[in-house]
Amino acid sequence: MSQPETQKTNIMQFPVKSKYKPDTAAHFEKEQLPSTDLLWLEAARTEALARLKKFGLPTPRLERFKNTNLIPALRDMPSKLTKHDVTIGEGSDEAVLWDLSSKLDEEWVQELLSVKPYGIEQYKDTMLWDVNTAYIEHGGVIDVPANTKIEQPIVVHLTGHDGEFTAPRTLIRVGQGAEVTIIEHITGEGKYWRNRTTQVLVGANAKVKHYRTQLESGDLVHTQNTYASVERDARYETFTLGAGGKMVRNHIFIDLIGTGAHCDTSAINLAGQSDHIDNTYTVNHIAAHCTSNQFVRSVLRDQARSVYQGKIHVYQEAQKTDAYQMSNAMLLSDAAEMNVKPELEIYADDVLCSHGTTSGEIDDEALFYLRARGISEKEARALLIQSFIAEVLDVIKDDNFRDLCDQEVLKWLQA
Amino acid sequence: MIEIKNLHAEIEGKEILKGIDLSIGAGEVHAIMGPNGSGKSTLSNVIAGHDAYEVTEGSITLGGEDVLELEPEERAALGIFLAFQYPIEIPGVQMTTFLKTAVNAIRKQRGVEELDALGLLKLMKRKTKELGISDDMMKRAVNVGFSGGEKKRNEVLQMAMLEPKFAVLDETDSGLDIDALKIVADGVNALRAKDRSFLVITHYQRLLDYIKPDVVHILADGKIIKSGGPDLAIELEEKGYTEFIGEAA
Repeated sequence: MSQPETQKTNIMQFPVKSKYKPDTAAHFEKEQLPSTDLLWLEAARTEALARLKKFGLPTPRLERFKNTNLIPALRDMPSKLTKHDVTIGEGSDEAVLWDLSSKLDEEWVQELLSVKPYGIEQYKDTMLWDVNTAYIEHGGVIDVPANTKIEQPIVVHLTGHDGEFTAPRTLIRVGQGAEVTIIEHITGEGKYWRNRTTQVLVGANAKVKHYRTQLESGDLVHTQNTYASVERDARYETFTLGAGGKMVRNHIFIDLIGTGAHCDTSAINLAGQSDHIDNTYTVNHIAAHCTSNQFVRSVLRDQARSVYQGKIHVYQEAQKTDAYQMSNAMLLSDAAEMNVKPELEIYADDVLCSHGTTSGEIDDEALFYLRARGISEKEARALLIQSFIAEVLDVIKDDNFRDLCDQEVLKWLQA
Repeated sequence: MIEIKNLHAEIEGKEILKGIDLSIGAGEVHAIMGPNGSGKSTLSNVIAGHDAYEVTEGSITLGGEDVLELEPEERAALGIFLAFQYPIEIPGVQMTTFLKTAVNAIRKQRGVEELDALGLLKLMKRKTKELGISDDMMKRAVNVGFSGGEKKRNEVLQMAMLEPKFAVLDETDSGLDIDALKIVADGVNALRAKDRSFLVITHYQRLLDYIKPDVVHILADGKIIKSGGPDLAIELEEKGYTEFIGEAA
């Protein structure tokens, strides 16, 4: 089927390469990439594009995309790179915030942007990284100097708009002994693809709280990969409240590279209609005495689907690892679906790893108990759903952000 | 006040209640005693409106109003209260939130002005003090980490806050030691009033030493087989269920 030339360059087409394999990278062309005078950046983009052309976009044939099929969702998506809409929230310390373009001369920035995709040998599914890298142009940098405590949370708003293809790159560097809370509000409406990559360097003894809300609606695809490396005795805590989203894939990769490093990854998924929210985690325990927790709760109604994949990889040197993961889902309709895959890969012999997963409905006896006290069925259900997710919300240490999450949960329940 | 007539009920197709007749006047306390499997808990669940039980015949009215047509929350608003045999733990819902929601849900249905935060706090303080309930307990999630005695005291607290016309106490004494039993019984006795009726369901006569009933009924195999004064409970305790039911049948 032939398409007019102009249209071909502006929307994604997946011509059939062979009978069985559509050419999902057909549309990515060198002419479309942003141009630059920086040789290293040009090299990084070209390399990424070459890999992309070779491997295509990730399909469900890949283990880590088994339950999340991006291909139909990406079909006919706009593909001309647009600058993403980003604003900085009030009260944020602007002294540590920069536009990516103003930092391209710094060595650490060049290093982060030039590294090979994470886990390319082992998993061979790093195409989303390559999409982002091939289109590196827009992004932000948060650079917190050592031993600095940023009192007010840094708040960033990312907004998606109809007809956009954006590839924001965010780099976060938190120096030794520094402390910061970063809150990202991700919203959007319409048909767009945001393919975002975030890299986080958590210095020794530093504390980073990285909170997100993702409240998007429409025919969107949001693929978001976050790569964090956590040094000795540092703490990296992530929390994501996801309410809605036609096709949302959040993959958080964490390397615990120094002894005594710790990470928490928590998420709440509220999905209805034909929403699809995927939370995938890859936590690598590389050094000894590190601890990690994964805690995800999902509430699904209508025909919504949610995916939780939690991988804990304990390297041979990572003795005394203490790793935990738990996924609980509440299914409010028969058509809702939860796909869960816990995965432990352990090469050390003195470790504590535990995982658990449940999925169930609203407890009828609890519902009756509340109704017998005069509370209407609707209100009782809402109360029980709120109580189900409250345990995850309790990880939030910022009162304002907590209040905001409570409001968003309530809004979703009443919708 | 409350009239139960020829009540038949089943669960999953199995008939448990086989024609119960019970009439409790305003201000009266009736006790129902019966062995395991006689239908005690089914009766209390049917009165409160649990949807796992199906009423196949008969009626329940409170003050002349048909109860069986109502949803559980509507029954609560009408004035029916069930103190659960096994109070449910609800992690994540704080006691104060729960009580506030319940009190105002009922006030709203009754067309009474809802209480503001301060009004509720005052009411709660007064009631918890009367029942010897600590502030710490009120900060916890509903029934989570409560001892057996605390759970039952919590049921009485809810009853005190919701001010029902007709309260059913489903084996409130089960699993309680004497001290806990006394506290619970004192709480119930404090709520006795000439416009409030009680149905006390129990396996043991012991409770009736503390909550004095006006009438005692013996329930066996889904039917009331004998009714009488408080002495009936003592007679039953002495003879034991097997012999007593054998004689009565």
